[in-house]
Amino acid sequence: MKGTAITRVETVFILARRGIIVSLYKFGIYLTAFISCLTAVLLVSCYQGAIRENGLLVLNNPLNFPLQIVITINAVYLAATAAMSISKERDTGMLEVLFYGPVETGSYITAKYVEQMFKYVILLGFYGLVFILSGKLTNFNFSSELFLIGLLSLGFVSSVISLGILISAVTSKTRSSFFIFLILALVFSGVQLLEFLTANTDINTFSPVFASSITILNTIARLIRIVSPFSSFGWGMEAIRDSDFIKYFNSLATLPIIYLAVCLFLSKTILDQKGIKAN
Amino acid sequence: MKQANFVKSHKHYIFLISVIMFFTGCEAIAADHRMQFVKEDETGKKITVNLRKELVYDLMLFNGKSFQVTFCPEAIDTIYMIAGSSNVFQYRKTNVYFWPITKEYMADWEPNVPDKSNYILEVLKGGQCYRKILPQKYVFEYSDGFQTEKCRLYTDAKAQEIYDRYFKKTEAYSRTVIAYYQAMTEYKFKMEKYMKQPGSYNYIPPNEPLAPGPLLESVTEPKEGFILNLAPGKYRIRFIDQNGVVVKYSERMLVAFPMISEGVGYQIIPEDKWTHATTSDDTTGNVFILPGQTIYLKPFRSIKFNKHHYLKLSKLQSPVSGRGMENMNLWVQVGEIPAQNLSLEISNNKNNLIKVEEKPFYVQQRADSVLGYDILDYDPDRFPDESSTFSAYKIRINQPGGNYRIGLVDGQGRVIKGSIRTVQPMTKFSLLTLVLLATLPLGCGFLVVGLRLAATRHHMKE
Repeated sequence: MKGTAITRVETVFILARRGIIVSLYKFGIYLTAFISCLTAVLLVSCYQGAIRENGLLVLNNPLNFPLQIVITINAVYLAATAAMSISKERDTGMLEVLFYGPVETGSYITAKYVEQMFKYVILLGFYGLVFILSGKLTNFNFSSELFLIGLLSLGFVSSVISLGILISAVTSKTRSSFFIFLILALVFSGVQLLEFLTANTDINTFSPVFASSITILNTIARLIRIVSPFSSFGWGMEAIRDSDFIKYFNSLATLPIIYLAVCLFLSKTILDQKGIKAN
Repeated sequence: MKQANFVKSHKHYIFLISVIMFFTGCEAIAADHRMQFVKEDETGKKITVNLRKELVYDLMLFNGKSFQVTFCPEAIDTIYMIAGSSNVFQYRKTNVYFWPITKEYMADWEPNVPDKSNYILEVLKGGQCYRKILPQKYVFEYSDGFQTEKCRLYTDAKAQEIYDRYFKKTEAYSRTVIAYYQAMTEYKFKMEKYMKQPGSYNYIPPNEPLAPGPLLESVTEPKEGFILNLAPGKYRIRFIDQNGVVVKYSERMLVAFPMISEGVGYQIIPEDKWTHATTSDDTTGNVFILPGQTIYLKPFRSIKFNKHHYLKLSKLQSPVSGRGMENMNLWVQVGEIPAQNLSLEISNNKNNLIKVEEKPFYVQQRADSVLGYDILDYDPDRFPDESSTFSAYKIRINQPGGNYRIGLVDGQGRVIKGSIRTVQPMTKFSLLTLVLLATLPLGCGFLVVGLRLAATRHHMKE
């Protein structure tokens, strides 16, 4: 049993390392990092412009929101990559070849997860350096809150990646995986964003039809929160804002671990049932 | 026989028609309690509303700084109030209608027919009777006038005492005003005589009598109401008559919500935009300024509440108020912090300390064609007929960069809790530098992919 367990762990690391090296040799990860950094830089310059315009700005930290955007972009990228990876390898027949060896479903799916998470940790380290440097240049300090957000992002990205893996296990084609994940990501994040935006506006200024739509939106948002990985990130941000340690810990660890366990278990079960042969 | 066959063959239709007639009848009965009324909005547009006579809760709820007047119609099932504060509940039978323009219920308080029913307000918690409240006498005292929000509630004997004291004050003030008008009449008469014959007054004009200052204090007339002060929690309230029978349509849920935290907020006035003040509500609200920018800080006592509950308290008659804000918090400024024995301490990274005292300032419009204003130190000698525009702590940081910590300290050097903020002057930086920083990963990507391609080609050649 122990030998089998060690073999599985070794298999996971070998597969994950292979995936990481392949990703580092491709341009996608660098392009994502560039887009993320550029977005963050433009947002920071907007804050600078606001200070010049108004003479002053009252904020917790102007680097918070850019960091959240960077995290979201990378989470979507890594999850989309994960969503396409299994179905692509099944399409090309590589999965069948792998499973003739000492690879079984659980190790394979775990390796996919570890690969994406490791890539994210590398990216996060890089973004940390970028934000520290930006903070020094602009005098928008790299505060302890940024560190907490970075830590929280590990749980969030873990949930999004595991969702991507689940979609990849469910769908047969690479294109389907990508589009289904993209639609889900847009729906989850879009509904939450709309809910946040409308919550801060006076509903009395809207027409009755629009006001009713907002009520429906709030109901849908409440349902989506159960399955959306984006909601735990939102709760974590609220916990940081309110200095609620328990809520922060649940958003960082408890909820993502449950989400991960459910998604990976479902992925393994579906992959075992569907089989690994190309269609 | 023919009729029986007719009924039998058309029984479904007859049943359907009966049901329709039943509900139409119900609607007709219900319509007896509704009247249509035409009201005009601000633009003069006529809007027809349905007036309905209802038992409503007429509420004066404490909102942290004063008492918010609102009401709870039958359509609203939950009332929100701040826990641990005294609030006034009354019942009225009045016409209520929904005003579609502002999407809220409105009460037609006119005509105000006093209700002679002797109800008791029953408070239930967990299904059990928690408290029974009898009507009490109450007054509101506005020590600085109705226009300000500074208001205190007094009940029972104290209410009568405050009102009697105020009544005596108004009587004394009335006598002062009458004496002033009499003196004024005499003065006018003397002035007319002086203008005609100045010699009769030894060429010294008569003194104009001084007008008495306004009586700022105001106290409402004693009335009866139900004073509710509850611990945080959810309750049910209802009116019961003397026989213990629940008054129809009087039951409501009541949420007594607590204050989440207390702190010091700052109103921050930039020198070049003094009419556009910003607020820093809590210690996370750091201030980012331009180097050389002058700012004025006015500290306030602030309290944090759940945003949804607070907005419901403020606008209970609007069904949509606070919607979607259940997980948000709101800081409410409840009063200025007097500057007695307080100073603003500013320290930088090197722990250099400067203390700033609160000073009055006067905003002077520029008289010439150049638009704008100047904020000057207020001096009563310099501006004899004017009062100061505002009082605040003035800060000016000339150096770019760095981190400055500010906080209110008392006479013993103790920092006032919740008053710490960080003030950060911006540094001059080029956007190009940041963009170049952002292109680092792109450069790495080109390098790695380029090296890989070169290695692959080399390998293929071999």
